[in-house]
Amino acid sequence: MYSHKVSERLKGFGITVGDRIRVSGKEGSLMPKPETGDPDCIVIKLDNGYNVGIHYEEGMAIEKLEGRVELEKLAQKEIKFDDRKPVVAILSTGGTIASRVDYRTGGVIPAFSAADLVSAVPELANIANIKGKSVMNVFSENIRPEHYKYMAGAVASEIAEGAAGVVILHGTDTMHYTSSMLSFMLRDLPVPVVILGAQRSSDRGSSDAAMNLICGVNFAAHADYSGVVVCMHGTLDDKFCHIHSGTRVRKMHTSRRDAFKSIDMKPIARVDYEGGKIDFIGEHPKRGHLELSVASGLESKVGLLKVYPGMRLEQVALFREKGYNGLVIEGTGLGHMPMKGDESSDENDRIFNEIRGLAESGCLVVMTSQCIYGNVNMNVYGPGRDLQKAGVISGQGMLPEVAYTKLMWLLGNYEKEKAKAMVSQNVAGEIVERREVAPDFEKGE
Amino acid sequence: MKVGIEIHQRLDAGKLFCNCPSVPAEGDGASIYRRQRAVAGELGKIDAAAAQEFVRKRQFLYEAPMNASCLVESDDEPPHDMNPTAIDIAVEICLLLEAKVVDEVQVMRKTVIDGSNTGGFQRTSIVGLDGKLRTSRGEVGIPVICIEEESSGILGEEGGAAKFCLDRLGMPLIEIATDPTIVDGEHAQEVAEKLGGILRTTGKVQRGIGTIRQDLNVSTEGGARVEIKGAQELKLIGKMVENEARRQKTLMGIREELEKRFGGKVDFGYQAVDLTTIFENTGSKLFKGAIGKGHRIFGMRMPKFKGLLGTEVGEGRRFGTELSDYAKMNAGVAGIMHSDEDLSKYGISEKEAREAEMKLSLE
Ligand SMILES: [Zn+2]
Repeated sequence: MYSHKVSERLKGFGITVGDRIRVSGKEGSLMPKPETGDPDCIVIKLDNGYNVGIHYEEGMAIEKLEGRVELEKLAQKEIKFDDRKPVVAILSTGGTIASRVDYRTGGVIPAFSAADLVSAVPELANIANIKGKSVMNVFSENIRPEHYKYMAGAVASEIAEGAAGVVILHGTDTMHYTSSMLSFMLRDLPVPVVILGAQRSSDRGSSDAAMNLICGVNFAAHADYSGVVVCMHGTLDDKFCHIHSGTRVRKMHTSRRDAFKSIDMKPIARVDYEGGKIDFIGEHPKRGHLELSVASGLESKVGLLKVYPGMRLEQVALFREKGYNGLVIEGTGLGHMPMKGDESSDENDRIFNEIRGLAESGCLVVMTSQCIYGNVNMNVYGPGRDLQKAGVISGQGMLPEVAYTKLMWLLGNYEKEKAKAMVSQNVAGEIVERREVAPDFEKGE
Repeated sequence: MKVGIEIHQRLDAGKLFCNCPSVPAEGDGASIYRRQRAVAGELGKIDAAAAQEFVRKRQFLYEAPMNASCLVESDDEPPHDMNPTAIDIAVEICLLLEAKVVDEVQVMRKTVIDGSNTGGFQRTSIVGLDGKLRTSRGEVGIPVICIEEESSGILGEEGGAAKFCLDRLGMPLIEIATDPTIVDGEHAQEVAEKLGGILRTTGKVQRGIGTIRQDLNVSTEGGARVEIKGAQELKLIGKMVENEARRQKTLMGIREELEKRFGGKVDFGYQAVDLTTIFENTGSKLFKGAIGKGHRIFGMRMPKFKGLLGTEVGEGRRFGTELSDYAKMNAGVAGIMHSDEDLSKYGISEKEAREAEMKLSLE
């Protein structure tokens, strides 16, 4: 849409979209304004096919010329409300998972409004009444605690307005941080909240964006489920998506479209691209008449530290020095870290002493494992027991990233003692009670 | 006559955007099912909605042999930097063709919607500009020399999906296009041979069937510009050009004759009449089979065409065949027969032929 002043000015000359005009010495056909972009910028298509944007200045000469191009066929799809279909709110957070072709200009523009989304992926209109909203516009690696609050707030208000489900379009890099954080923040969630994105950019015909979106909107609209989930390709095929628990999912590949995996459990469900069948794989929480609340406090002084052989004291010392309230250690194996020196060096002793000092200072120190798969157990070997004696709390096999978001959330909403007790309590399915004997653990089967 | 040649030659180097070798599939691999959608850039002047509809129905199966493809070919990993060996060979060819090598190689995308590329586009880069080839009939310009990735080879159809193998996808190709200054078939033959020779002297191009492909552009004065795709036999290029020239000349002769007969613009109403009922009890196996399948038979009166449809436009190819090809391609018609032919060879009786004639002239 053009700005009010540009629209009025064009109207004053009797100019409508498609008319041939001359602005600032350039001749061409007036193009409609995509919903993104500077509304004061007049877009015309030149005779050589290129579009140019000319910034409108007060009093600029605009001349209507002979002739026009017909743009009727290129109009955006109109959305009709169908009261037999549920409402799904799609919140975009940045990136261009659902870019669409602007038929009128030939350009690719990120789809944010419901009309944009439905024009990009027309199948969506057959699944639900789509409401679209842009919450923020950041790449997922740039997300900070405030952004989690925007997202949680936006989800809550869509549910209050009657959405049967909410879809969040999200960059894939830190999607599993967001899915776990929202799992903690959104208390007594009555409906599905589905987070999804694309591994392959949507400016290519082979992008995974459309299928993920179709399956995710379908799940949000129709699945008898409540909770935060991630919906992404189940395999390399364009056949079905897996629905993963928000607190047990992790990005396990940099670029494959099936990069997201449920860790130490099976996915919650499978959604077919064609036909839209939803198959639940196990027990799951159903939709309910719960009163959603947002526990939005977040403690920002929480760290995540990967330990490794040859590590030095200064990397650990920082947390006590800067007054951190929480630290998640991504330990080795069952939950270990450098802690004992020998004649070659006593650096490891100093590291262990520092961790003990940090815990004694009141910082919650939680142990997870860089193995990703499998439980943490600090009772099996002496060093693990020593770490516990020093005040390090077992993360109970939580994924390191999930332990991190959980610690931020616990410290933001509860007194320290309560928070400490809740580290090892299952708040949102982040702790796996039992791990099945799966011949191939990466497939969970 | 104006002729241009475009040569695609596979370079003897690993794949252009990954570390796979350029070798045929062997042994085990994965099979991947994909859909593709229309995106910007590929629509051109086609109606966008129609293109979208077309692409939405397309289903593709890709065989991904482990020895000759990786996640880059399957579109599950971004392309690596362009293979420097392939660039070196391309630059060497540019220099042999006296072309200016560009300062920076820019990768562009050419949209491909037939599924032969997993990403929906082919990557291509200009390496050299304004080259030339010296021939016995003067210089032939070579405006553009590109390096591009090979598409995947089609294996067939399976369950409504087009099936491809990824072994060929991403192999490096050099594309050499001449300007249309080649004057006849003999000259075209010379140019093709000289270019082939230059490519071979580098010792860095692949040899064997399918490793070189020539496309020809032939236009004659007053005729159309016709593209002949995929000529693989170097020896036949001269002949193909001559045949095409003859075809265009004959067609222009037919046009002239028709314009004379019509006294100007050729227009006869183009009315198709349903003749199916005439052939309900026909002895013609062809018609019987078609009607049995629910097909229909149509006729059209083409006044003043008598004698022309049988005109030979090429070896074993008549004007009627020409029209028949257009009808098959553009209208999905099974075939055309006409009254300049001996209709009894289709098993059509004289009575049926006369009835059809009557119905057409009466309508
Ligand atoms: Zn490869």
